[in-house]
Amino acid sequence: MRKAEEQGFREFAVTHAASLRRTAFLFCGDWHTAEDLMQQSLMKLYQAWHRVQQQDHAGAYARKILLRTWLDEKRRPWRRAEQRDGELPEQADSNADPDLVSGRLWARELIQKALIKVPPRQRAVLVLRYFEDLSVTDVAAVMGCTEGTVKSQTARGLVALRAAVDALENNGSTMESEVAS
Amino acid sequence: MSEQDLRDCMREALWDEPPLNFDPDSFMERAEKLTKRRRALASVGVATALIIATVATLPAAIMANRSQVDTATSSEAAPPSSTKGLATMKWPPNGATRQNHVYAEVQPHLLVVWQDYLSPAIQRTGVDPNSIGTWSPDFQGSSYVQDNSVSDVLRGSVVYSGPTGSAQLDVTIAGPGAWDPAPDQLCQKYYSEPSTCTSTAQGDGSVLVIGEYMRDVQGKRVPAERSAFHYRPDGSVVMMRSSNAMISSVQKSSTDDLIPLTGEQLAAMASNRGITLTP
Repeated sequence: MRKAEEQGFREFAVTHAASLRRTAFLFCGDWHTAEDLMQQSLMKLYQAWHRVQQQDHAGAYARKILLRTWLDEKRRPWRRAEQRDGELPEQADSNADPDLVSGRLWARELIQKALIKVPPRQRAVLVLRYFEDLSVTDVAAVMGCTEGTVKSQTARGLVALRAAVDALENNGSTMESEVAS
Repeated sequence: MSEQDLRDCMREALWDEPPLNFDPDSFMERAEKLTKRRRALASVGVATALIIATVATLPAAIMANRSQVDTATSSEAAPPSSTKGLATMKWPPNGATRQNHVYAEVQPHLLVVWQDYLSPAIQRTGVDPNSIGTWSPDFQGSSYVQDNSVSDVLRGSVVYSGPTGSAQLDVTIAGPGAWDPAPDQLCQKYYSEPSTCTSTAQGDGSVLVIGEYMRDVQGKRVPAERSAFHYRPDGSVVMMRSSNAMISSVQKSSTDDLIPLTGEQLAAMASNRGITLTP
């Protein structure tokens, strides 16, 4: 890689590493895996940088690589075997406002228990649309599918997520009533 | 849950994001190493594939080339069963007319031929020949008409002690237009079953015929004579014939040892362009 290209890639990596890791976290629900996914994606991007640079949409290409890398990871046997429905560690900040902490824990529950139950491609569509705020067209480009597919996957993903949230809430209220009795 | 709730939840879920320990320098170094390793691996893979492809295809290509040459040079006439290949050549070539040399004229040149070409060629096969002696006019052609009036076909014989005992090499040199039969008829004429005969067109327009005459020795069929004929584009022919001078007394199980010179050795000597009737 030439010096100018190297400098360009370095700037891109520094600028986008954090956002790629956040997206990866929403895909997989785990910061360590998200870090790995981000590093792998940047490594793949480095291999193809001379092509990507000419096309001038490195951000979209990086998201595409990230998605592919994660989907590939999902197919691996040790990832399939991984269970994510164990107890969450207590990480409440004692100095923070209890209402705020409660809201954050709920958001974490949503991601790690409900969103994780949504099928991978539907989950990816939800993250790209509602976290990355990409348009249907852009999501279709990243996913490598038609806009119609993005819309249908979004609708199905939302249904699946709502069902998972309901199940989560019912489960929580049952546990509370059991504790009260 | 509305879409806006989902947006908010996703942003909220990142509240405990750990600090990013992304070191661009070490990352770039690692990426560069990985790229070099991939390139090296790819190079090794390509080199291995090339070697395998070469090893796999070269013998087949050589065989295909050989069969192509044989097909291109084979005669339209059906070859005798003992003939492996039959090269054609217009015989005698255009302009090849007999020179009707006087024997005394060519004898000095034949002495040079012996000293400079024949004797060293025989020595290269691992034996030490005696003098070839006096060249003499030879019977020639399919009609077996003795032609003593001219000296365009001369024969010299040398008997020497080879690795398998006493051996004999007959050398015949025919000037332009003085040799019969044509190369594509030689095999049919003189090498019927069970003898073998092969003719091959050479790159310089000449034809090389190698024949092996078989006979029964002590109840066993063995090669008794091996000859190489070099038909040259100028119409001349050089023949080398090797045999064991004491063949009837040879008692060996290996028939290959009976003839001291191989077909390749005879062909190399017959193709020697220094061996000619006239300078």
